[in-house]
Amino acid sequence: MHSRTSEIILNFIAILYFIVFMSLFIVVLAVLPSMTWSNIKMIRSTGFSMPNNDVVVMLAMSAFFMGLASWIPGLRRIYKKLPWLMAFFKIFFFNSLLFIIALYVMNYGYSVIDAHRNTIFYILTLCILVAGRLLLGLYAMSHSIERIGEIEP
Amino acid sequence: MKDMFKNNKKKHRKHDDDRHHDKQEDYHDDLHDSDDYDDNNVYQEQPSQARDTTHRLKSRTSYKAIGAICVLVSIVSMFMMPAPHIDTSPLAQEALSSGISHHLAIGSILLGVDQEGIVQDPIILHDGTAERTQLAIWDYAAEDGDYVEIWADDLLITPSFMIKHRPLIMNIPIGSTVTIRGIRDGGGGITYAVNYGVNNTTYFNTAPINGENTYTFVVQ
Repeated sequence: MHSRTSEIILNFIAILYFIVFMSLFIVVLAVLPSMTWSNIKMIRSTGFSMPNNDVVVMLAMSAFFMGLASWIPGLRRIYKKLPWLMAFFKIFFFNSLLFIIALYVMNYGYSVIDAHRNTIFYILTLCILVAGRLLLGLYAMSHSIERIGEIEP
Repeated sequence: MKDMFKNNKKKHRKHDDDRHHDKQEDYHDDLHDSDDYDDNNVYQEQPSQARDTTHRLKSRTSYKAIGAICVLVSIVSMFMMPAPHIDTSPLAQEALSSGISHHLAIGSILLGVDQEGIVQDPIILHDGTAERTQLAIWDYAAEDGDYVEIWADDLLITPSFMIKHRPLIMNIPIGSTVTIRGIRDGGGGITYAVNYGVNNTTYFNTAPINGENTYTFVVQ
């Protein structure tokens, strides 16, 4: 059990951690799938692959800072105060991971300029995205949010 | 509705000493009813409260597990990301200035970013005994999406492909010329290195966009 002073200090540290690190990576996680999809469209339109290490670094850093808050008990209160945050993290992390895998496949396919090969890998990329989204949907169905109850008026 | 809250407040005051309050976790406090105590006034956890406790423990464990996995995986992935080793030895510096090396290994990376390098059309001397030669080509600067294609005596050897740090190795017939055409510049110039097995020499070259470098084979 923590004293009141240590509770205040821990709350302050948690708020600081959220403002400095987690708020940034919440935004990063939110835009990463659309950013990666834009890269895929650009590869398709230009016909050339492009380096994509930056999106992997962004995802890894998001996972690190969000995961750290979940692991350390003092920071875990952030997830308690924002109950939607863990669900947001899980959904957007796996979404981003799926899009990055698709981007890698697309880059590999377009590393050689050959119309036949490019088309095959583009279709494969789309199949990966559709299959991945279906799997995520199945997971969400099997782990749906339970209704605790309603507040009577 | 006000009455509902009034009743709850009364329950709080009545059983204030008996509350199991976990300050570390921000869960709702269980409001212990008088029915929760047995004849000896010992608190008996009700099945719903036992489920809540179990749920809290499981949630805490799952949060820890998720956090630990995320941190470890992110650290491992950062270490696994390929960071090219840039050769800054005197031999590498000499190769950068002259554009030729007989000593550097295939796949040597000399620069972290693309720079305008030497544009050359070398002459390759060989003894004339071999009909084919190994050709290794790679990007000796930043892997930024440079595309080239390779021709041998006006015959297309490879379609346009992206040169990477990992060398692409192939066997080509030794004719009179090998031409490497620059197709796309990812930024800073189409920098590439090509090693010919026939004379074991590496040429650090820059291909002009839509232009070409010609390697002429001459029998000594």
